[in-house]
Amino acid sequence: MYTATARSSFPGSNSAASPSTPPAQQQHPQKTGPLPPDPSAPTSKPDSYFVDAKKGEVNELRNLLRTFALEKTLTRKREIIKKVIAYMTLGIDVSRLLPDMLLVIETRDLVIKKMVYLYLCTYASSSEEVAIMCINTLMKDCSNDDPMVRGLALRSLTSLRLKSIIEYVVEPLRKSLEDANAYVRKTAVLGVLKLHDLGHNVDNFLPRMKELLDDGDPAVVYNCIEVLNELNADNGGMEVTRDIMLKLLNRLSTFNEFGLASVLNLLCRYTPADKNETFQIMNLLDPVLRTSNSGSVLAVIKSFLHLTNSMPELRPMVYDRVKPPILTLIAGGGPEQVYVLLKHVKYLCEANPGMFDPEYRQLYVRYNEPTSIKYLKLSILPKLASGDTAVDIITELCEYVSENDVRMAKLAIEAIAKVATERACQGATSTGIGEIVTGKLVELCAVDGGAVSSAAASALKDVLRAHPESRFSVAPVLGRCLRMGGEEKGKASLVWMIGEFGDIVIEAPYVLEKLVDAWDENEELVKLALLTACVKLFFKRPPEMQGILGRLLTQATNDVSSQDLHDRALLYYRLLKAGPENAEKVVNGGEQTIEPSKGFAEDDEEETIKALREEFNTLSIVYGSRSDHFITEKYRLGTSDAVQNVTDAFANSTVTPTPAPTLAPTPAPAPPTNNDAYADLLGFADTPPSPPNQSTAPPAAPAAPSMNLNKSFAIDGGKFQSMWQSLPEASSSMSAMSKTYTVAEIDSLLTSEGILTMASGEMDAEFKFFLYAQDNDTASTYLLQLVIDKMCEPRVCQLTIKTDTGNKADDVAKLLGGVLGNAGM
Amino acid sequence: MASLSSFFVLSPRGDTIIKKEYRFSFGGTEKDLKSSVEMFFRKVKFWDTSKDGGWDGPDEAKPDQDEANDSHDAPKVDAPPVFLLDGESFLHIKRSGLIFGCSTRYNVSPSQTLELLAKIAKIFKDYCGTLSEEAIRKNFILLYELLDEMLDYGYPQVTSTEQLKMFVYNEPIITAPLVSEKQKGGNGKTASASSVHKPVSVGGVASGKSGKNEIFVDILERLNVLFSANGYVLNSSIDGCIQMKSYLSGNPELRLALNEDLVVGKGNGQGYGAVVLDDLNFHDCVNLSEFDGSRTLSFYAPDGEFVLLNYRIASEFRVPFKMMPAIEMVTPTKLEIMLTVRNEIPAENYGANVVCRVPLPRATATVFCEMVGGGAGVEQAAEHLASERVVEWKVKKFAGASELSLKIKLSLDSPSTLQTRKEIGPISLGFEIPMFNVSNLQVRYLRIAETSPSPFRWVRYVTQSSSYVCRM
Repeated sequence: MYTATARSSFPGSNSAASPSTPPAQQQHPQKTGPLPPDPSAPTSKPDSYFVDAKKGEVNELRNLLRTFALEKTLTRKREIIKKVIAYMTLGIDVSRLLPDMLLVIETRDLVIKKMVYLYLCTYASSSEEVAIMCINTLMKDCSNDDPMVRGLALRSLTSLRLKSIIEYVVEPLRKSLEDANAYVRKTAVLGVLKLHDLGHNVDNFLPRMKELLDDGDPAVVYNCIEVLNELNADNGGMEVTRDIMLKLLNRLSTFNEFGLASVLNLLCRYTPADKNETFQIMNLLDPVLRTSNSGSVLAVIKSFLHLTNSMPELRPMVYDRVKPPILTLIAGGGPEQVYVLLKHVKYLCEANPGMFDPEYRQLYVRYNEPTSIKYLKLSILPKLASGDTAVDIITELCEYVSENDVRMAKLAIEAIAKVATERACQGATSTGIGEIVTGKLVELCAVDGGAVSSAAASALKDVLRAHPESRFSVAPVLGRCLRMGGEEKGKASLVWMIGEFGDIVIEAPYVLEKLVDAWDENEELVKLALLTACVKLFFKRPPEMQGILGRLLTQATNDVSSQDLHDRALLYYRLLKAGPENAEKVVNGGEQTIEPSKGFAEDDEEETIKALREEFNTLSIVYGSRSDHFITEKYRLGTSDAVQNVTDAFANSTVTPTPAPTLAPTPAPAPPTNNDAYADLLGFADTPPSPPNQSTAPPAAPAAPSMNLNKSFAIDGGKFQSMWQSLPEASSSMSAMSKTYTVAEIDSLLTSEGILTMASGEMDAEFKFFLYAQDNDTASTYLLQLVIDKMCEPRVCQLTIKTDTGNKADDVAKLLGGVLGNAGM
Repeated sequence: MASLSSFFVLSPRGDTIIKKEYRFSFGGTEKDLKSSVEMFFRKVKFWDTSKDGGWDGPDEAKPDQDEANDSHDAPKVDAPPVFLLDGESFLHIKRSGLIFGCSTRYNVSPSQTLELLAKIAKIFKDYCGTLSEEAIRKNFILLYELLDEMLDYGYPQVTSTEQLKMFVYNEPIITAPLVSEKQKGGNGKTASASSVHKPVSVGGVASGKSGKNEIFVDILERLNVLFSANGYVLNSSIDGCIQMKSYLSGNPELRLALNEDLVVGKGNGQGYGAVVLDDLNFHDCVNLSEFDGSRTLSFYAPDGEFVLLNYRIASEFRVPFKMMPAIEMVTPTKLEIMLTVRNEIPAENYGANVVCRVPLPRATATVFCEMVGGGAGVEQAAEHLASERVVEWKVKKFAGASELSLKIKLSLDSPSTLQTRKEIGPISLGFEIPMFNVSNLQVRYLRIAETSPSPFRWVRYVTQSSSYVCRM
């Protein structure tokens, strides 16, 4: 109804439709000021705001909005707002209406309210000052009697994405986390995450969030898990304890599919106490395999794989158990689901060869499938070929070659070759299958002298590398195939084979000679192959080849079309000049055949397979590569070097008991009693400071940096982050540490000196600290980033200092170096 | 973590009908959603296998894809439902020509995400009554309202039709269903339950006014059969499901009983003539406590359309249609294809909208089709579609226990070779058989607890072709 056709159906229904009235320039500057009613404003004619100029449309809308209060019926009022939203969703920028929309916000009608909130969430950030005017209404709605309104208001309030209003949001959010209604609580939980992403410190909410993991409503728990996971992304997700895990598992049936998936994800980071527990969990999950939700089924499979990590003897049973559900999902699912499932089947075939072999017929290509699935199946079928099934599969694949789709034909040919080069050819049947495949490919080579023949020729080349014993059946037809012509790649493969098996291809020199004589008609790949083939053949049949090779080298070295060709020809020429015996060693040096059981080097994916087991049921399986290859660091779990903000403080609660200093306005968490014990560590510039309990004779420090730091100074995470981002670097240094501390030790050592911890964390290769300090004398603030490389011996720490007004950054560095016993800081 | 960055619905032409962004700028590198959706659509529309890792061809095949793309023989390549574009993963499903898509930067579970998209599409359909561009455009306010409850900050929230009713205040605007439902064949009599175009009632309180108290049950079987040129069945399977659409008021408990002699899993083959399923799976709502004993399912039907159970049969069964082709070379440039199709189902049943497609060789010059048998009562037509190089033979109503034949006379540009003959086929057959199923799976009864008056129950059996193909 808001489409172009609708517009054209009111051609000039009134004068206001012309863009000249209402003058846009005139209205533009006035934002909310009272507007003299435009005499020509088309308020009374509801359909007249469809004009061609977009600016005009928006202005018309504004006029309409101003009549909102005058409208008597709810339906009319709704229509007006609906029109604004319609424009918004069409992609027309209606942000200029923000002031007018704000006037509408005080409505009791939920339909209008929802629409206005939707508008606000889209445009609030376009004009912060104006948007702030809606805060009052939203906050008021957060304490409405109707839980639906409370939830709605809170969701909108937290979705405005305005940093300036964070302070108004915190309190309603805190209250909502305690709300009696689950809908409000679940909205609040996500609100915490939104606040965090705006850069606000949410540590205050964490204790409550942890309580909510036990909430009566599964939707709240689900949100809570996801939010905690995201807040702790650096540590791979929320902390999983036995207690939490068992509680969640016990109420597994109350969760919806998404909650279930969340819990199962956590399960993959949990190690059961004993075998008994493992079995109990697996029995609990088993019924999920009978559901029709592919996401849930795959999540359970992943859990099973994880749980049997320590019991490889159970793996075959797991594979047996999960196979029928996967196949049923493939039979009944939509094409999109089937695609993803097939990707998982492919992975399972690689990780556990033989698993789907007996089911190979169910994975045949169907004629009515999307090509994405057809092509995927073609890559799976060769993996299902074993001694018993290989012949059937090869026959089936040959059928696909004759299909109309050229790409399909090519892929089918490659698949046929793979049957011979992959695991199927192991053992006694190996030779047989090699022969069958070779036979089929030879047949295909002679099909059309086009795409199919070419693909068959290149495939044949690969097969012969794995099955050199089949060369005798290939040799007689090579010359004929080459004469049929075809695509560049196919011809090059044929030439390569003629060179390789020249001793048994009777007409080899004559076939090659023809090509050499028609040098300029060949494509580059063919020329390159020709060069190699002729040189190889020369060693096998020198008298016949000598003349040909001479002409070839002359032509190739004079060929300016390809640098590569020229260089290679020159290389061969010089090699031969240096003596044919040596040249032969070089050219025929490497073993050309490959061991069938090993496959080609490029197919060796052992590592990837292992890594992907951890990433089962994720995009990694679909893309066939580890997540760190395609997921930006920021969105990955577990690792992050990016300047992480305050979440670290919480994130590390599992690693180090770093109390977040920001939590307490009280003095920094260093216990004063220990302070004295640490005090004399100050200034141990060269020797390692001893752990606090053993005070061996400390050599006196030559010159203790004269820093007097404020030990009760505190700043919050948000401020830290904004300062860190805005301030320039004052000092940066690197030094070796003579002692290896834990995070907790460093934390307490520094705290005792007034260098306080904002956040700290232990990563795979390093410790990372965000520290801050305030100089008592000048009241200037120092922000420090300390990164300690664990992998080096001795450990190396890298210190970056930023300060607002201070000029003693080097002194702070010295102080820190002294405390930690670093050399050369 | 499984959070989405955006959700969108695109029209078949690529216009954004619905879109919602969940994760805005974290660091200023965020692209405009609009432009990234446009990029996504271009990618889907013109999927190029040579550029992206989204498919599985070996690397070697990639450089020479271009000629295949240019070649007029190459059919359109379907984009995979999941692919990576500029560091962002896009997942999408197609429903009624519309694209339901989303993007994410996290390493989500693709299955889970696609299930979510499917669920959103289902809910849109439940609330609009039908899924079409027009229905979505007209109901956009309602759909945004739904979407707000279904996804918050990219995390799925409430995704069941009946729970959503509590949150929704807008009324649906009903649009006429599309006249020609492509896949259903458009025959009013045989349309399945999914073609009941009626939105679920909204507003929670308004349950009384929604009119009829009824439930539709379809036992739907899709057949995959592969014949060899001499008429033998090479491979066959049944993908079956029980599909329901519920408009019951008060959400009563339902009990649905299947054949008592139903056997699940191979190797348990007890009793001759029993219905043997290889495997089956169920909707979340089903209580299976009585299934093993009495083959009875109890459940509270969710509102709207849902699939109660899926099953799979890979063992042999009596195929409804048999295809027997024969090629005769009259002269080197003249071929005659004789295709006989026999309907082996009982005479009281019939196949509806039977469509047989015979691909012809590239060298085809002229085609003449002749339908043999059938008599005056059979409505049938054969047509040569030169652009697709096929002969399409349509039979409106193919009676059970009867036989029809088609003779195609071809003249060729060049003398026939082995290759020419290979280009004929595979011949495919599409059909729908109302009130008939191949597996003999039966609904013994469907009981609805605590209701008076008793709701209407519509139980239907439908057999359809999926991949029903004969090789030459």
